[in-house]
Amino acid sequence: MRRTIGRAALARPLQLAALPIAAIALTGASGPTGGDPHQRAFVLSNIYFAAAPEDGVCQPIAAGALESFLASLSADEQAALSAPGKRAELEKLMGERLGFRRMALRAGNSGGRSASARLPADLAPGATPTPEQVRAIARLNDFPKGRGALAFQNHVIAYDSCTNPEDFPQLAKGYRTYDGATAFGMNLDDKAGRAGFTGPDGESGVDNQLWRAIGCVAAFRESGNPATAKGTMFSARAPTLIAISGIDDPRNDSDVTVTVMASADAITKNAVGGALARATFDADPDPALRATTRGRIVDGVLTTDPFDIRLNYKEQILDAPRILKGARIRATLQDDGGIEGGFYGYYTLASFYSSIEQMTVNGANLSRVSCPGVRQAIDKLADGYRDPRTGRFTAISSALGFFGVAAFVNDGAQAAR
Amino acid sequence: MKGTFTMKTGRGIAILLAAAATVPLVLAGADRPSIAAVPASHADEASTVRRITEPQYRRAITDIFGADIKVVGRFEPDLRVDGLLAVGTSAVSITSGGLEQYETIARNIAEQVVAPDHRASLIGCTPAAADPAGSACAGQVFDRLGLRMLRRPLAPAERAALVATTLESARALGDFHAGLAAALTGLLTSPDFLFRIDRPGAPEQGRRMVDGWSKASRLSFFLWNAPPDEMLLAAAAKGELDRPEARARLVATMIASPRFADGVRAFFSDFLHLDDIDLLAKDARIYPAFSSAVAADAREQTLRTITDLLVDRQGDYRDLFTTRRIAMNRTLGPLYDVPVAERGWTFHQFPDGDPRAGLFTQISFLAQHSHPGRTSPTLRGKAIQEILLCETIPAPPANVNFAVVQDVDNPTLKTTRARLQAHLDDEECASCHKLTDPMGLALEKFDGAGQFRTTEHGEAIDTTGSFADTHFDGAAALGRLFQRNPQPIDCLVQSTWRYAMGRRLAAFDKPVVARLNADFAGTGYRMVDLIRAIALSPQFYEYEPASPPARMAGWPALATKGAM
Amino acid sequence: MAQDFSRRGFMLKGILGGASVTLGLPILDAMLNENGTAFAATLGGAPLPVRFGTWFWGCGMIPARFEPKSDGANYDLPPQLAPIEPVRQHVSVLTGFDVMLDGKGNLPHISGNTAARTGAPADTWQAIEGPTFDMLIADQIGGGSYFRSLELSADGNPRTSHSFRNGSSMNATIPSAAELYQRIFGPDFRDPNAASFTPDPKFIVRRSVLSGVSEQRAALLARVGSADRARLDQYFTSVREMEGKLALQLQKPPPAEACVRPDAPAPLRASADLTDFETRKANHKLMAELLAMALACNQTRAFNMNFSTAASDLRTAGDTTGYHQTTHEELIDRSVGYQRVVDSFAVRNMEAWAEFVAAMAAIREGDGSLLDNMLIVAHSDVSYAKNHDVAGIPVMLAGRAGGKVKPGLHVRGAGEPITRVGLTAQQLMGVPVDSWGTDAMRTNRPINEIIA
Repeated sequence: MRRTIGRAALARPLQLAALPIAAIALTGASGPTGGDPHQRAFVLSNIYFAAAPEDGVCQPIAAGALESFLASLSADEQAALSAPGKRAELEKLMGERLGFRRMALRAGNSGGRSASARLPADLAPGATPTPEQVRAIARLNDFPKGRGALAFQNHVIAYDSCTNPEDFPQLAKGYRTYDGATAFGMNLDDKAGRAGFTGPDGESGVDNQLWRAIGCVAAFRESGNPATAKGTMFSARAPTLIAISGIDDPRNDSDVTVTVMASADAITKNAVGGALARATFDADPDPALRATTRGRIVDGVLTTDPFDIRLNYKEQILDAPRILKGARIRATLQDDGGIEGGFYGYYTLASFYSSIEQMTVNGANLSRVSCPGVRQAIDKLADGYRDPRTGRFTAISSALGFFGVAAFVNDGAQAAR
Repeated sequence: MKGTFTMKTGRGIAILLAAAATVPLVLAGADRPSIAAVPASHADEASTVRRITEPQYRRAITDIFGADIKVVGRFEPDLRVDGLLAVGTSAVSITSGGLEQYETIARNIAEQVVAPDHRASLIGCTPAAADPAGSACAGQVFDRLGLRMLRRPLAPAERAALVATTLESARALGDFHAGLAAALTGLLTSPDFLFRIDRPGAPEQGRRMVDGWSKASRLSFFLWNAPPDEMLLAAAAKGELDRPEARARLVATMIASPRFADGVRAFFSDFLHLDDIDLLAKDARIYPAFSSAVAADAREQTLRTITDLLVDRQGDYRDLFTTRRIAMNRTLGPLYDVPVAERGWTFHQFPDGDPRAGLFTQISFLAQHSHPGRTSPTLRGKAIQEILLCETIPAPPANVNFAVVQDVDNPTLKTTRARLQAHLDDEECASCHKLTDPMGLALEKFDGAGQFRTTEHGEAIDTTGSFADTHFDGAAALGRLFQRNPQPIDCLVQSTWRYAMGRRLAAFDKPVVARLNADFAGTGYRMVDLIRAIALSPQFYEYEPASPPARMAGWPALATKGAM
Repeated sequence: MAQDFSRRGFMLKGILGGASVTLGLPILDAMLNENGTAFAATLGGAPLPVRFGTWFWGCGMIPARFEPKSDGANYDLPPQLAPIEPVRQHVSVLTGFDVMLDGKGNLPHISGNTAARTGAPADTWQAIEGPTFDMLIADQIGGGSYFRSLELSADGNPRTSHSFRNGSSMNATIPSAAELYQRIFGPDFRDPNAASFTPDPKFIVRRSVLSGVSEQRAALLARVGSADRARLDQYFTSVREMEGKLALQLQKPPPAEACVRPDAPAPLRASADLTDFETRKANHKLMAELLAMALACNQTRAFNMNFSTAASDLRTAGDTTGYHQTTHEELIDRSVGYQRVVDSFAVRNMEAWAEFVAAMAAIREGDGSLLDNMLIVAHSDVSYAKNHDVAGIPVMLAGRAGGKVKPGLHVRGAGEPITRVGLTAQQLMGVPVDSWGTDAMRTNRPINEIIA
């Protein structure tokens, strides 16, 4: 697969060749108070879709799937079911009419009333089914051929407008995209094309087609508000780490090495509910969850070259890693050891869709999302990494904001090399 | 006045003190203590009765019945006298509320011991055709358990009483094992289990000595903080503990045992007042990184650092004031601002020149002797004086105005040193503060939670001072001065002796303590050798020493926490 | 050591023969005040029993609208707490006590309440590791009353319960006022004031064992010096006092003064919609009043009341979206900074809670009220429902537990584990436990601020 973005394609071979091996090896049983002064590391307490600081452009906001379904009913049915008190009945009808399925794979509450699924004999009780077993379960329980997905932390198997949005285009009616002029992000392609936004600080040519696609969805607008996001901890049980090494001057340094890693160590909260600073995290040894690039610090602001990264995203019932291609970090290094900024790059469609599938229509209805609407908009607005075989874009420009506190990284994988 | 007493927080705890009837009692945190005082004429007797502590109780149950038997419940708090809980054990009794707790804990243990899943291994017999009521079985059980629990053989009448209680209770409850549990509860609630009561034995070289069973207990509780095991009880039964050379062999065996580290930990936990550190609370808004887990691990850190230095590496006690090798884990790493490679406990080595070095820079010391939201050079200095130098600092007068010191947002007096200095313009205050504050101010680069800092309210912190007429700058430098000074050594030796004996120093202790001091120097200040020397001293086994103990001039009174 | 078994032998025989034995210890007179409260607190039994219960509601609150700003007594009442103003002096608010997920997932509306109840978050109720703490307390105090505990739900569903012996054994609830009435005050009603009394042989044996300990006194005191003698004498006095307290357990308890068999409640209309907030509150209030009388009549000493399910099933008839959906769907009104509809639901939960507390306080008992001899722990499944946040799950306590609890305080947990609440309740109710919870949730620290 060839990239469509020139700069990103150029940068990569250089990084791999020049990286110092022991860049972030903070292992060892000795060290000064404050750690190695040539390194800084952070654990991110929240990574979120940075919402545009612009109001009044999404009136009304994008309809959820349930609203679209209601609108599709006959006048009589609409009259009978439009009262909010009829909501449960409406959801039930939507499931029946559209053939949604949801079946529990193990005993216990699985986030809603679900019949127990018939299970294949080779599935141990409580075990997570393999993809082959998922297909077998779908067959055994008469799901439409080739349909259905695990959800709710693998406790259920479901088939609905989120596991398979392509089957329910009618629920995209009433969806709308963001038509404002401002969005967070960076100019990723060095072009100021038609699709570009203006950044909040006036930067032109900002590429953030993902916000174009989902910026009028209530749930994303709210969690993306930076003020809300700062006080929220997300994916704290599988956080992302950023390590900067080779620092000679913490305010201005033209050449530093930046590594993004995952950790399976949960963030500990401090006594006032924030992320505990200066804790040690083991880096996940999985090479897929690790990426390194070069960067520079100018007046305390770090900017990196583009690189491909995979960010864990495990929150409540979701486990949907975010895969970003040609991504850059731009972030402010704070005096208290914290960091605030964003990942700006091309979010792969497959990884985004996975997060939508896992929420299932139950989650989508609770958060007023239309999975088919989101899916159609993203399919249409995707702008990165064209697949030469199909001619379709496989990723979409995006801006993920983040907040982080000082941390130490114990990089066993590095030490072992 | 014989002394004042501080009590650990607790409610409604009666304390009974071997002190003059007119003694003023300082009962911090007690709501309605009931206090019984003893006539003055008895105040100078050496106690022969020590209440076993909570860790000792727990250890006894684990040793006798196995780790499967859980001890659940709250114990009557221990009492710190003369700076040591060990000394308090010969001053406390058991209150009404405390007895209810002990009885509840005992019933719970007894029920577990006789429960069907433990019966076979712990009871080992049942009523049989020849013994339908089970009296033979009960007799066997108490022959075996009585020795372990009372740390001496049962008298025939005691055995008969336990069997009778078992049978009567079994009849009332319609269940032999329930009857056994009832008698076991009685044994666990009895004074001979809850207290160590010395019994006189044969004299040795003109000294009145305790008997062999009591000698076994003294050794075992001192060296292991545990009741005597089968080996010691067997030695006592054979009279070996009455022969110095056999005692020496036993002491060597006990010091070589892994349990010896438990004994050293118990001493330092008591000596350094680490017992209630997990109740330490900090202002969350000011020290968000501090938590109760941090407090508990800070104690563990200090104890692991000490046993590593003094037991595992047989090190020099004085190095405790300078060591850069410190036990560390990931709970503590954030406060020390260092990475921690291991998931469990590990040792961290701070480099030369680092601000962290020695006991004074450990969180267990820094955070405990601070206020919830700020440092206290006075509390820290007072702790150094009283705990590590065995000095006495008087309590502040009741009418002090602390307004200047407590105003941490004072616009002109930005550092604690500046605020304290303003307070010291009052001469009455200055007389005591000049004893405490200079050493406390040396630690000012560590905040109230023990985290390193270089400034306070934007102003650089000054940590200079002088100790023993020598100028220093900072905590590490103060530690180096302590390492070279004789006073911390004297204090350790006499504290270890008081801990071993469970009583205050008496005039007649002077020769033995002097000898211990000299021997300690001769062995390179190795803690192991000090403990061995005490265990080998004939005075350690003396029963009601001949001359009445009286407080020696210049030796410490009790620690009292002042307000600042 | 000389032993004399005759006294204990006589005592056992005497009591087993049905006669009450008077020990004649002065302590009995000294420690029994007119209302019998002196012993009620320490032994959790006669004469005035101390009762324990829980009160559960779903969907938490909005922290900025619920958590008081001031600490300790006379705390302020933010808008969502305003309904408890009439009972504030009885109610302590505990904020900032967290569920530590310890790397586990946050299963919406399950992790929080399993953790608060069992000391460890679980993925399902079936997967809980131990009994809920209300069961541990009921086991401790429930003996001697007709019902070990009463489980109630105001939503009409017997499966709405947060009380479990283990994952496979849920305590089903009594779901309506009418059924509660039948269960307690129906034809099988056991009038405490008419009941005959049989002493429990366990108390007889415990006292007998202690008297065996007492018999060692003379021999032991003779062996020690006078200062030690005074200390051991104190110990033996404590043994005697406990013997005296156990003797009390062998006597018939005093009459339940406030116990009056109430009239049967009118059954609910067949069409009554219990998901409607007002209907629910009316049903709940009826049940609360019946429960209060059941407690006053010594029918039980432990109970669990469920006002709503986790992920609250409540709504307002014909008017708005259900409470739970609203917590997720409603946008934060930027003009006020919170979800307006969710806020109004949260206020109504607290109206029901205030009514529950008031129902307990309305019954006179001794020189105070029934509530004074109770400890109620109220909690929810989440804090901020919108995020399923399990940090700072709201907890409230009501009652004085027979004088052991200081009510009317706001205490901040500052991120400490919520297991401190369960531990505190267990210790106050006499469960011999020094720590509770699993892994990061384990604690040995009761909430001392509220202990009298």
